[in-house]
Amino acid sequence: MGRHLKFAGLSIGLILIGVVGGFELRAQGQTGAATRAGAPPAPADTAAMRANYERWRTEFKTWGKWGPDDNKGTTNLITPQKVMSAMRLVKSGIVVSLAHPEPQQPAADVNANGVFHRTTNGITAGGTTDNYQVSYHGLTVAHMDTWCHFFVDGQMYNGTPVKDNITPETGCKKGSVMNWKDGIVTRAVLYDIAQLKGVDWIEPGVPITRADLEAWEKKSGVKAEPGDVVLLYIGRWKRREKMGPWAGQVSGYYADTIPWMHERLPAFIGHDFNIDWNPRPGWEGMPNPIHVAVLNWMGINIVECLDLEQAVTTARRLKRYEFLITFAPLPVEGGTGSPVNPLAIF
Amino acid sequence: MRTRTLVVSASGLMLVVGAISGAAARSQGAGAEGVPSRPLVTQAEYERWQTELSNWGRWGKDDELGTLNLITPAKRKQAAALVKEGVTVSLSSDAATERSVDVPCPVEWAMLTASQSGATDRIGYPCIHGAGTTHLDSFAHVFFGGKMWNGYPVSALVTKEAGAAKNSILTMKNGIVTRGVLYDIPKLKGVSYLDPGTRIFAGDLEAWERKAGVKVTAGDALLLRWGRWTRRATLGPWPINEAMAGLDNSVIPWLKKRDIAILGWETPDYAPHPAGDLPPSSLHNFVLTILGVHLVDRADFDALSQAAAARNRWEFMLTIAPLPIPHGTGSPVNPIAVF
Repeated sequence: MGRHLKFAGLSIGLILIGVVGGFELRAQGQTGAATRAGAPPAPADTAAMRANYERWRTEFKTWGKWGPDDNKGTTNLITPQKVMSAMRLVKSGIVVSLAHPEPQQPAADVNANGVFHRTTNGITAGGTTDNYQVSYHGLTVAHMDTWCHFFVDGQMYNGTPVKDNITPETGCKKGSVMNWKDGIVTRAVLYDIAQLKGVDWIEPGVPITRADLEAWEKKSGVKAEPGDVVLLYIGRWKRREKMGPWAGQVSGYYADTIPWMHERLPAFIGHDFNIDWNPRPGWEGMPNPIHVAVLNWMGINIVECLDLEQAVTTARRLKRYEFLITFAPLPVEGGTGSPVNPLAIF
Repeated sequence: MRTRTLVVSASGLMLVVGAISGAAARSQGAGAEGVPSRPLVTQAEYERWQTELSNWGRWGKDDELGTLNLITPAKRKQAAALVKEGVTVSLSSDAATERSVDVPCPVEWAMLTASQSGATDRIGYPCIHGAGTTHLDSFAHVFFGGKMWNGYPVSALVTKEAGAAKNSILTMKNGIVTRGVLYDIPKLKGVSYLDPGTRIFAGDLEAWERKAGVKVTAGDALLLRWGRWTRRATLGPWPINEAMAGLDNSVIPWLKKRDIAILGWETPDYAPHPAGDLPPSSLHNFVLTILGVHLVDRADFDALSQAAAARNRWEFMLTIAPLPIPHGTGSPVNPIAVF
């Protein structure tokens, strides 16, 4: 619901910017045909995919797989052995951030709620301090989710009833971000789809399919495995720098990647934008199908709105598309997620 | 050349401190009573150190990283090699969202939306440098005579409107990955926690090094535990800034000599201070601004202490990733130790 409203707000913002930003629209027209033309057509397999989606709801559920009280889902697959094998990927001692500087001004992809507020409290001879405030579930603050972020039929992942579990005062009792307090240290696999397609960035709205992911695996020689973090790169920040910010149209995971996720069981799926491809003609009445499939059915968590530019530059230079990733949420009891600054260590 | 001279004079000073401190080792508790059990660092010494021990200019006049420069790729690989089991431990206290006697300015957390289809929330840190949040200080947090780390003038570079144009937390966007070493002083003394007011001396740190068989070296993170959280669990909360244990000001030359990259602790100072002592936070301010060592403040080392003791292994890989907040003076962090 919240996300629904947010997208509505963003589209209004886009319209305003469209009116004001004549220059930007012209600039976009040169390479951004899809953007200018509005919604791309629905993929031909949309009807079949929607039917599959309803079947996958039961087929791909991992509820109970790690016990009735489990709160970690596929994060359980990050065993000490998994951590140790990821540690062996540290060969160069190079570390880069996977987060963009926090947005402190509204923009097309930063609505009023999504601004990272920073205020200087006061300046004395001895020093200064700040006041921070952030609603991080937006499109620009790098953040992780939890099971408390998306529900289906009054239930969270593993069948936890929403009704008894969430109150405005306490937040989320089970499935909150505290389950990840001790941090994530595992293998990340970078899916450099821009390189695969031989472009600087994938145009907004283009769905990234299972075939794309598997073509990249063939080309790069790396493959996501259980307990990994999948990092999908579409060149979002490179495009933003050249063309200016936008929202509404996202090149993200398409519905046919859901069985792939079910087979691979990564601990997290990541992206340099919002996870779901958008817009989704033919999917009316089913908001955020990828979010729901991973967070609610499969117990796969999300780390999204990352900035993968530094990691991509480093990976291309070293020709190494797997590396150690580490991030840790701010431990806020009841929280539905957390802003994070994941680090890639090569 | 200048650096070498400094190191020599620092070790000379250590000998003096070591010689004096031996006699008073048993009466540490007296520090809280107002009569210092050991000599206090004088204002004159403190001022002299600002010249003698300063790291300003050491990495060029444009530097904003300080001793983080000592964390080289080789250092990170060395830290990664310390991971033997694949076990992670958080070093952050849980965000204190309730006002209490030791958290006058709590973290502000609010549910934004909650419906049948999902929920979102908001986090606010009105006092990011306060007692309720484990956080990383940037060099824009503390000033000495109108200057920040490396001599940057405050007046032009830090404003109420725009925050910090230099030395902000954004300088550490690419995170900190290095060797962490826990100095568990209650374990050294055979107590659950130190008494508030206890001053921890270089002699204590070196005694711990002998006992634990580890030593901080250049580019490491020194994590100091005195048992703040164990004491809270035992006795309940108290006004923390009025009663805490911490590093004595005489440790400053020792910290310079060891060339650590990060100093982490549960509280930033000892308190109360004996009569005639330097002002509160003197070591905190010196280490951050003059030595250029970033500080992890208000950490919780209880889980780390247990994990380290269970393995009798006091060194590990440490990762710290601040939120990349442009112009910010610090960031909430959840540092992770990996064994």
